[in-house]
Amino acid sequence: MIDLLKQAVGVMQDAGAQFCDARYQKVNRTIIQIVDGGVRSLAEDLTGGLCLRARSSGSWGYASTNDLDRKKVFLAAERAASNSRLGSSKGILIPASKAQRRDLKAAVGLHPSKVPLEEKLALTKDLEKAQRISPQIVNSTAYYMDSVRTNWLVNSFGSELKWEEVRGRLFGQPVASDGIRTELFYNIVDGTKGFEMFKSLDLEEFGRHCGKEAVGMLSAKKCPFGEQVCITDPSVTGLLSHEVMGHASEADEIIKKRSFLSTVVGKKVASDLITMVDDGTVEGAYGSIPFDDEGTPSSRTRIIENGVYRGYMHSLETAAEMQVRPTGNGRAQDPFRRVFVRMTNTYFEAGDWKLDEMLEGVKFGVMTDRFISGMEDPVGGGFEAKALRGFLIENGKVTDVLRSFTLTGKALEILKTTDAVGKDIRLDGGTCGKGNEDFVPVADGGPYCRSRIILGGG
Amino acid sequence: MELDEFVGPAIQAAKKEGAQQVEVYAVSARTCSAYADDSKVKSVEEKSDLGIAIRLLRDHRFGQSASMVSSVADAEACARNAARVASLLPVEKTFKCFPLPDKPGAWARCSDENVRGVENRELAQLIRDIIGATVEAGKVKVPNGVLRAGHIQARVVNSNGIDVCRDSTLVHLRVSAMTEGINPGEGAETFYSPRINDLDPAAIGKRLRQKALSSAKAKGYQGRMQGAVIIPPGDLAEMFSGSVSFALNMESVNRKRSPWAGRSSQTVADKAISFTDDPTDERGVLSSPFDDEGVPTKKKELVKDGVLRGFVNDAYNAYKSDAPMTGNGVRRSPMELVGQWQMPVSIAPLNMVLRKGDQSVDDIVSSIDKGILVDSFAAPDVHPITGAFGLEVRCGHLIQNGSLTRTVKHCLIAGNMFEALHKVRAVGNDVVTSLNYNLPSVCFDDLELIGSE
Repeated sequence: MIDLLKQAVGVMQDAGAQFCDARYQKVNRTIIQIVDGGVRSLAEDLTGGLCLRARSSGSWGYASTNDLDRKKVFLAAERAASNSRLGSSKGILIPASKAQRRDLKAAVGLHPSKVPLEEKLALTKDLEKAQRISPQIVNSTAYYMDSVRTNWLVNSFGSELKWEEVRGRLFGQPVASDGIRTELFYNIVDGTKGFEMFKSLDLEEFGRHCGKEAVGMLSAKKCPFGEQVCITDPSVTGLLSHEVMGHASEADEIIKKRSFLSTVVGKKVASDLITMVDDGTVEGAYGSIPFDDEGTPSSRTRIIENGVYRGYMHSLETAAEMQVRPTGNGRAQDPFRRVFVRMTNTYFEAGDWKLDEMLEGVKFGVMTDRFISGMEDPVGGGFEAKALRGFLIENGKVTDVLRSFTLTGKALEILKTTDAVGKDIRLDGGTCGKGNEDFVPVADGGPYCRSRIILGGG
Repeated sequence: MELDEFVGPAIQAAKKEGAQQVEVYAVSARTCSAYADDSKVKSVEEKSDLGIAIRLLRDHRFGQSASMVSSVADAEACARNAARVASLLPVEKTFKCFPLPDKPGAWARCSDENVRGVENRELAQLIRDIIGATVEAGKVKVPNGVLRAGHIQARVVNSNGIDVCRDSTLVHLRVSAMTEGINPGEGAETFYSPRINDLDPAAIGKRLRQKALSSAKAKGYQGRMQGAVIIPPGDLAEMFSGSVSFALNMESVNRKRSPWAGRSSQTVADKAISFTDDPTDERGVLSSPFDDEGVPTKKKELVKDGVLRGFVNDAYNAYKSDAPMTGNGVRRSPMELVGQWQMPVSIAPLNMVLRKGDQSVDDIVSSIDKGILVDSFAAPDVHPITGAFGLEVRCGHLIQNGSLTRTVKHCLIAGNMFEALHKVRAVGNDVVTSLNYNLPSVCFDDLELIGSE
């Protein structure tokens, strides 16, 4: 494969590309879905393809195919080079970097390819069954996914890379109904680890807990509306880090001044308690990658340090434009999608508060528990997150369960009100789309944080 | 490679593995895209893929697999894998037979020769035209956007005699504009059509500029009110996809998740609300004479004058609920053609049409004492099971005594879609295509607007 990619790079160079790369990706994926005791889906898929990318001036040309016929690959290489000349974007040359030659296998305990499909199926069935703890559970779903992504990349600086990424996810989601109301709950275990992360689970407890909480949601109350003291749990804290502060710290948004953080390096933007990073090297986290899709090793980027804004995430192109080092954030969904600046694992670092201490200081407020979704707003710095549920806090104690609600406000105003940051962090995996498409695996999270936030809905 | 070169060998390979019934979904797709970035054409891409999804029944056990295809051997390996998967599963109690051949559904013109032959150069020029129509030097720019045009050939073959081909095209645009300077405002436009000549760069540019300028005037809303809310078609399509489509989906019914389960012939919405799934409509980007299981499609009234008339299903859920197949088993996206063979069959309306009203948005505004006309939400999603929503307004215009007053942002509109459908004040006449919906703006009464204190 490397030889074919090297030749394709040669074709693009001969066709006038100032910089170019060729990457091939192959993904073996297993998906299992068990619903109400039956196998709804069990599939083993093979996806992938070849992406040829050429840069002329400041514009990119791409050609992607999964036909590996040599002549067609070379024709695609020529097309990538000619497509790059159709753009009108100007830019500076990407400076040459030292050629790398690496061949990395994923460092996992139990590689998914070594685990019989029967064992994965049995595990998923067990999780589904364990959720059915009450007649009020009207529907139970367990979902298992593992993927082994093998990447080959050659670029015009002479790098020749091959690396493997292994991801897994196990998801339980029961639905409860009392005949009038219907509610759901979920729990997820995921990461860039092997099957060992599932083998170590107490599936009975995992499923039973989901079922119990779904039933408990039937008596959940409506969330108080308006601006409230709100303790965000790690998953909702993660949405604030990823959706608002993270997307606005992607350097492509900075260069075109589409970020409310475009001019804040060195300035105080948050409470002293806030430190935030993007770190693609976190062992086992869902967004971790050895290299980005341009072959840059992943790294840890300090974005906010003790409330002071420090810097941005970069691809090769944005690093060249801003004359800094690339940070390993040039990523693509797959070989059929373009590369641009994307996050990896984005999170707030821990403080020193215990959750009990944070609760004690709240006369009336709300604590979130798990997210449903969130949305970026790099232009306006607005925060929007939907929590799966929450808890009402009265006089320092949790008194009621609250059904799903929405959090909103201006991120920097929220962060300036943060007066307590928890001492433990957790990262949750997921996929991030930028502009409604181009989905890449990421994680986000942080500790429990106490701030003032506008709440509503439910 | 062509589709026909590997479909037959895949079926043969499945039969050799002992499959009694086989279904092959084979796809060849080509897409070109031009990306705008900071008011320039940044990237131009072309992509093509070939893929196959195989489902089979072997000894009453169901197996499936999907694979990219660069050789006949890939397709044969996919078939063997599907057979191996089947061997691990218990006897399938629901899905006993792939669909049988039937008369084709109504013909829908879902392929445009101008898209089939589109050149990258033309797409780059079109997005340049949109940028040109939007940009106002020093005031408004185009930070990002994508224009995509694609052509797909799909063939569905099963061992019960179904052998159908679909040739369709898709043009999709998503582009934003923003004002320059301090506290910028941003607006976005989308476009969905099988045809490229429907795209009007000048009109899109004009609307984009207006949205960005309008958004720049927005101030944070303080306080709280209850009133009428007018939601524009694009955001409404996303809200309905997560609520109405979910409620009408027979899988949701079978899994006891649909709030409309068991409510056939009952009132589920105001009389002004009628939803029809119309795959014969040439505006629909998923319109086609058969679905992706080869089942003929037809026009279906799902909600008529507020009364629930039916649900949509795929073959599995038709068997599960002992209902006729409606031809809504799909493996397609209204935004992208490449990679569709990777998608499992799921249930979706092919072209959901909300019956339009006779009032313009201006007419509706003039009838409202207190409310808001929404330009855009951050993420217009609705909790599918409960219908609850709390949506951040990115840009909206307050309405007082029939007139627009201030432009606001950073506030929530809260409510419940399944309740709001009973409180429809008016349905507009400004129909657009968005995702797999054709719909106008709708005004709902009694929703909450929540701002900071």
